[in-house]
Amino acid sequence: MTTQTEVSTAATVTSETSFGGIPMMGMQKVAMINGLPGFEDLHNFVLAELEGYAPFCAFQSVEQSSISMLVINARLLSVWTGIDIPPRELAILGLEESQTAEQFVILKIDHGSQEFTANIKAPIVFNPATGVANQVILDNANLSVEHSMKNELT
Amino acid sequence: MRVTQSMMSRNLIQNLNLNRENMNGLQQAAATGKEISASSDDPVRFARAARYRKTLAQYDQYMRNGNDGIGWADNYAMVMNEFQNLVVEARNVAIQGSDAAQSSQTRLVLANRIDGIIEQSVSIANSSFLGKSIFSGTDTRNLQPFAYDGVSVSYSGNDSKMTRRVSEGMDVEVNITGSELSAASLFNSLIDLRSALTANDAATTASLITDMDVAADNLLSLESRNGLSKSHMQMTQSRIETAKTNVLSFLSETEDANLAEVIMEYNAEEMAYQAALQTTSKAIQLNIMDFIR
Repeated sequence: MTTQTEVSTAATVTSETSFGGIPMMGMQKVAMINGLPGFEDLHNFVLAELEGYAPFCAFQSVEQSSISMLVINARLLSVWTGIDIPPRELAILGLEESQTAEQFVILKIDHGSQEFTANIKAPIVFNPATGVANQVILDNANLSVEHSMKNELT
Repeated sequence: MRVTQSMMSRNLIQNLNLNRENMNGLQQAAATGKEISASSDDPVRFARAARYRKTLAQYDQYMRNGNDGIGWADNYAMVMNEFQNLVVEARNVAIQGSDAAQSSQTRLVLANRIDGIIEQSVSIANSSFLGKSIFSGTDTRNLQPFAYDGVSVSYSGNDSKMTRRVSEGMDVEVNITGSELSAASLFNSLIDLRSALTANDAATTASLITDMDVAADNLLSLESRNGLSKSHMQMTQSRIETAKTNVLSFLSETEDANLAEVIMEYNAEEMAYQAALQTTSKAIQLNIMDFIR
């Protein structure tokens, strides 16, 4: 029995999302226990691969179809080496160790330079077994909310 | 129905214009990096994006308020530390003065040192930050809320709290009022100590060592409250910064990030336009000669 909460069809969320008609695959339901900062009233999202855009994924609100963000698995980033999620944050999600947590960072494109940046200071930490997640603000002054993806994507 | 040459041309030109319209929109999107350029493109998304742009402005205001509040907290931390140093100095004087072997002359000298410490304390209590008095409540233009007449210290500020709105519905108190500072018994203890030393009273001087400790604890308690406010504001700042980054991500994805898709779509549209152009060009080049061949 799989413990992952997967959404069976893409049709429910692709039609009106900001990602337009890009098909989404391997969707997982994500329940944000504290909402998403900036969108506190939204608690239910799906995390989905964007076909043809791997390794980028969509973090798509179920409650408001036009609210979505581009995310990437934090472990794919070289900068992520050695970054640990505090045990108390893992405990909130019912996790015992960092290894079992899925970690995603939200991406944005800088308005002027069109450069991709990642918010590595506040990853979305996700318990794949229960589907609950939280955006954890890491107490580390070296981590930026606008980490350049320039050297991460080459 | 007979399809005339002019009808065919008109239809082709209409198609061409339609393609050109689509292309204009896409070219504009590709050139500006913005998918949404006018509300007519997608009113719902445009309205939502506009609403979140407003939210961003609000976040910026909260960040400014928080930075200002943290500035005040840092300043208080510095000033309270200066008070603590003076209390330590006064306590050492009290220990010296409580020694029964000291002469009355020595106690007078020590009393003068305490008098100097009182003056320094009052001067610190009249500190200002960014041109505003820090211990006068909300009467921040009162730059001398504390006065020392050589006998007692008086306070002329008010007891009101200054707050900073650091988040939606969240106001943080950022100031320590002069009354709270007075209630820490710093000035009274110093004045009592100076009196005991002037009166050559070793026993009272000894008992006032404890008063110095109490004043230090009271000041520490105000410092802790200030530290808590600062940490509260910093945590809120982090959350606001995260919220702001999330909204920017959403907006960049809504307004900018479909770039790859826009470019792909642009290429497809351009091909359709070129195809339509060729067809139209061929169609309207037809003339009477083409029909009599």
